[in-house]
Amino acid sequence: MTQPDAADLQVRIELAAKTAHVPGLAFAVSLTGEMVSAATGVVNIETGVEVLPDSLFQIGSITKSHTATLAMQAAEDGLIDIDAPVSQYIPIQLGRGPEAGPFTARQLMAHISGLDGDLFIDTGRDDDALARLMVLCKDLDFLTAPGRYYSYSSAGYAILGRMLEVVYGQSYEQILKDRLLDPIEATRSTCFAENAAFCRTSVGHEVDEDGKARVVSLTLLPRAMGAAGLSLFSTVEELIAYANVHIFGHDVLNRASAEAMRAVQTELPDGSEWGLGWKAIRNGGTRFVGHDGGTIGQAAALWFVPEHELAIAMCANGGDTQHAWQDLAYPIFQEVCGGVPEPDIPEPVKNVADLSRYVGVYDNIGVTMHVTAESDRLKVVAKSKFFGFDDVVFPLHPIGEGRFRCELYGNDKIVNAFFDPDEQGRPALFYAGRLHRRVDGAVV
Amino acid sequence: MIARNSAEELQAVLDAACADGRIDAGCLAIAGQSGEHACVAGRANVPEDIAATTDTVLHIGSITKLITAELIWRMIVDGALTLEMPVIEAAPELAHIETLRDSAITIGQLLSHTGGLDGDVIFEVGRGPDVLRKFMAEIDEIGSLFTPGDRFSYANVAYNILGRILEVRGGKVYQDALGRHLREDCGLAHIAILPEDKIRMRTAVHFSTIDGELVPSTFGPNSNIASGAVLAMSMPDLARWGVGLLDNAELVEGLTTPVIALPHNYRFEGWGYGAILLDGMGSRLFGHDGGTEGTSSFLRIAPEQKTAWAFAATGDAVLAVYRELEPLLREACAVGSAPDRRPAGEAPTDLSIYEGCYRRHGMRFRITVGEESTLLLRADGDATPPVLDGLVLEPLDRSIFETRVGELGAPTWLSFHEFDDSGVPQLFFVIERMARRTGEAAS
Repeated sequence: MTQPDAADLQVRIELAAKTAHVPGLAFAVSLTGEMVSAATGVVNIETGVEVLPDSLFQIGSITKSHTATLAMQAAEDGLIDIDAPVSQYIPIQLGRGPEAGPFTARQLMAHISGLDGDLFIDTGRDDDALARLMVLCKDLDFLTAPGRYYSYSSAGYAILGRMLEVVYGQSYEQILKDRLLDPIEATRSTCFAENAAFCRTSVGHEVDEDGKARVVSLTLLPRAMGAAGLSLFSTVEELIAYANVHIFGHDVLNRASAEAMRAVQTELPDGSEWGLGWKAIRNGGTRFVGHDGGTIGQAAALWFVPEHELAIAMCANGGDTQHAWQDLAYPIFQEVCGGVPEPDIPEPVKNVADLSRYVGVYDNIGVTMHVTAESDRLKVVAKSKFFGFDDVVFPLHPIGEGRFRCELYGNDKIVNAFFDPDEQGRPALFYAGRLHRRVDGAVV
Repeated sequence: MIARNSAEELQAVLDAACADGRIDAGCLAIAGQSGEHACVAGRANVPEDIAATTDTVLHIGSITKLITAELIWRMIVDGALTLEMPVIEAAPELAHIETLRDSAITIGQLLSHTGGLDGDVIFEVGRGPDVLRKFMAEIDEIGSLFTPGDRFSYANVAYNILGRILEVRGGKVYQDALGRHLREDCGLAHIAILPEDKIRMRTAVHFSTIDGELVPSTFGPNSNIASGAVLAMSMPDLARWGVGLLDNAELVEGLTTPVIALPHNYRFEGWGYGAILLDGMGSRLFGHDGGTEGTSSFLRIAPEQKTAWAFAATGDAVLAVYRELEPLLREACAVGSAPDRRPAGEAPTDLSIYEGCYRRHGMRFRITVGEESTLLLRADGDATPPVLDGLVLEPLDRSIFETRVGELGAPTWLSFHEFDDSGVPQLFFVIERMARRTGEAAS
């Protein structure tokens, strides 16, 4: 395959954005190091400023891979040992509960530290924001013992960011700029709105079913969680440059470290894998590596296939971004790799065993889930604890022992799983990548 | 609301100023009883190629002081503060600042810049909502230039102190109180205080070309929020705020009470308790000017005509453009022309008496005799390279000298004061601030 034609790409992204009611979108593809980019729509429906391929968007949790890259760089330089207890670098108690125990940077990067994770507390805008958050991390629960199960933990990445601050004696944002963004000439990328205000910068939009968009009220999230991905603004072009660091190696990260980051550390209930800062999905004989990201009203994706030297990035500011991504990226992945970055999920089964053992209330720091049984499926009411999000109600269709699939936000291939991490017969619920502990007291 | 030919003339000035590079973007708005008018030209962001619109927010700099003064005056009208109240009585936590404590500087003196504070104290104390509290903790050694009430010297720090007083007395963080007042009380939509406000609007920014590279003009430090480092507004909203003030006669009376005359100023006549008095101490045209890195702004409020106009632009020669606009605006709004303040006195023959070194906080001004009956000014900071080097000052009379800053600059007056028995001036008044003569040699 040759690089997509720029004019053709422009036509495709305009159609995809229109179909998915995305107010503004930028997209870039790189094959063997050659990049093509395109953009459509507006950064903000109130101002009407158009998106260009170098416009800034909030890239959300893709930043976690940047944080992991910095940790691996520090390990290359002998400044940290990713298998040493984190307490060696941050000498305060982090996390609590009966399963608390020492955990490592490797476990944080692979989301297997057991720490609960959706900690969205504002500790201010100053350089000490992350240090102050650590004090609050002492009350974070261990959902399981370290090293045992995967549970996506943003707080874990904040801890990783703080480790870097301690080692370098600088703020996370300064470390990111000096040691990763500037060396790869990603100079538009920034963690601060003060800088983003000098560029075409996207804000998030809420888009209703008729495609009517409005700008979200919260356009900036707490600095303290910057290392987990609440702060960084970047462009599709600079994301591609960053992905190429991982494909080809660079002074900021050698090839061995890059390969270690994408090697499997743990497997998820949907068959996907997690490495050190990257997710990986096997499909059609190809292993796709990448990360998705979202802030309020903005979504981004960065996926790459090292053996094909292929990287694709998309940033969008509202609407059905999932479908826009599938419309735009999947044909390219299919053509180049013969597959797409999506796990194969079994179809629901009809005759299932007793579902009553799953009925109950499940909880973690971010969401409380009320699970009830309905003939051949379960029903979930999820109540978010952050940002005043509405309750989400959806069915879970069984696909095998303890495994269910559901459709959420246009993605019908989400897998939820129940299993027993506390060894007391009380199942935990794995949902949206996070563990939730059974809290209703009903011992099954 | 204004005649079509006036609107076209104003637009033509803006278009020409953008075309010849004096400004990047300029927006002008008039608000009055009979309606509103706005015109705009140029680009809010040149390298990003973002056009300016009438909704574009521009940094209004020290015009923020007039809003801070309004909020203080609301407390005075409510009886919570008085003009004569010493600052440390209004906010006892400020008693650690010696100059405030020892000279019993009052609220009224802060409002009118007559407290004598050596007031360009600008440094970063962070990005958070606690900036004013932190800033106050760092200024205990702020200096004094003269006996409070005797003279005028523009003091940013005075308005930061007033901002802190608003916090202490009102129980709300300044940035929140300001935002609530402008958005909710005044019903204005295009207000940007925090950086997250600025990324959701068209925010006018300026880039300077340094060694062939475009360098963004950074936003001012949040620590100076109450004196005008961060607030940006659209010009229609600023004009609406200005004309809205006129609904409250007590506030206007307070802000414009003549406190101190500044006859040696090219631009205006004197100062009230917050407002700049434009056309003479008895006249009613008032307002404020503002400047941040890369942006300058002007607000004029005419109570008799119940009209306000606001202009702000990014670029290198905004003042010169405003001086072209102002006569047109005065005509359009039926406000009489500005009085000619050019002094009638004779130019001095012996210029050596002015030679010497004058200082205020962080700045040094060195005056030497130049060619053809002029003075030369070099200004530098304690920690900065020369900001002015070899500026030529031409005498208009014994006190007042005229100069132009930059190729496109508009004329500005600087003045000398407090002449001693041998005729040597002890004070140098430069850009609305006093600097005191030291014993140092000028060269």
